[in-house]
Amino acid sequence: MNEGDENANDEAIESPVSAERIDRRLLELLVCPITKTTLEYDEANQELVSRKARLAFPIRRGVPHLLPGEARHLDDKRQS
Amino acid sequence: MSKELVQQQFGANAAAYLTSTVHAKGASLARLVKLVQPQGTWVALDVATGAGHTAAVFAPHVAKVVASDLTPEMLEQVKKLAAEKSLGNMETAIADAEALPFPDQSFDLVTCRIAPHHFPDIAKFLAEVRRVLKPGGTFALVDNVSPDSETTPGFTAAELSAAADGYNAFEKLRDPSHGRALPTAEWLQLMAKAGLKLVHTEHAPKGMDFQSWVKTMNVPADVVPRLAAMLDGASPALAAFLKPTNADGKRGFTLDELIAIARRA
Repeated sequence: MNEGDENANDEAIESPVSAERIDRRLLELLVCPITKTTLEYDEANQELVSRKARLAFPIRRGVPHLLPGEARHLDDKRQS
Repeated sequence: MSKELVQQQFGANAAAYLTSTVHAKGASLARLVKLVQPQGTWVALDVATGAGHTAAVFAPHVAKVVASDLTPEMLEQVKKLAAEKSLGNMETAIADAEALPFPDQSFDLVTCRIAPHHFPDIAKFLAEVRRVLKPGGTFALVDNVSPDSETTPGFTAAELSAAADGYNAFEKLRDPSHGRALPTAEWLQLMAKAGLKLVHTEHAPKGMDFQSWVKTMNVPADVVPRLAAMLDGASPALAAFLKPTNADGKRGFTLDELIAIARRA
């Protein structure tokens, strides 16, 4: 779960590749493609987590990949 | 299976779609904006955006456009296009047209242009379009259709059905990720069934240059003469639909785009 109110501008400055980061305004528009429930943004792992579907969807190069086939099951170990 | 094929085909040929004149400058693009009359407060979604041409043409008219596609390489092209045109209100997401990752009633406009002929389940796609549209929201569709009595009058139902199969086989031979181009009547039926109320339809014939058509999808050399033979050997109904030409060794044919505007009740 990500704690909401970081300053988006600060983030852009801190980030070495801000263009590669996901836009927070987009996050508000996204839900789980299967359950249509809210997603939690895991910034450290660059994943969008659907608790209900028990799936974590990857964010690659700032683009969320919301395909069930690309999601990691929450019970699986992360590979990194 | 076919979704993987779509990713393969478009992943490999993504750049060609950024520059494809049919996709970038197709007459239906400007026409679509005119018909839809987008408003500055709207949030729009362009499903199966490809290189993002439709999203980019709407972006200056609306508050925000989300451009979704199955293929990461295509969305890279979208980002390039957005940067080139300095469009700061375009977002991208990898999504399946039949399982959209957006909340109910979140968009004022959903567009989908020259893409559904790749979708395995159009009814499912339309149900998702209806779900994500706000009440009164607009769905704007452009897609290649196969022949029926509306595009190609004067033939029997059996002749037209065979011509439709022939047309889809022609497309599929060129692009294995082609699913099925629906005939117009089937589109209208499915939209009504999905709760999308039709407000306008028109057809836009699209003259195609055979060589560039083959080139966009990087068709193998041995397949090209087979495609040419399909044009030469077209049945009268298929020939009436495709209107093949062959002058000075330069082949051409005509495709038919359906433009349909519907509203969510």
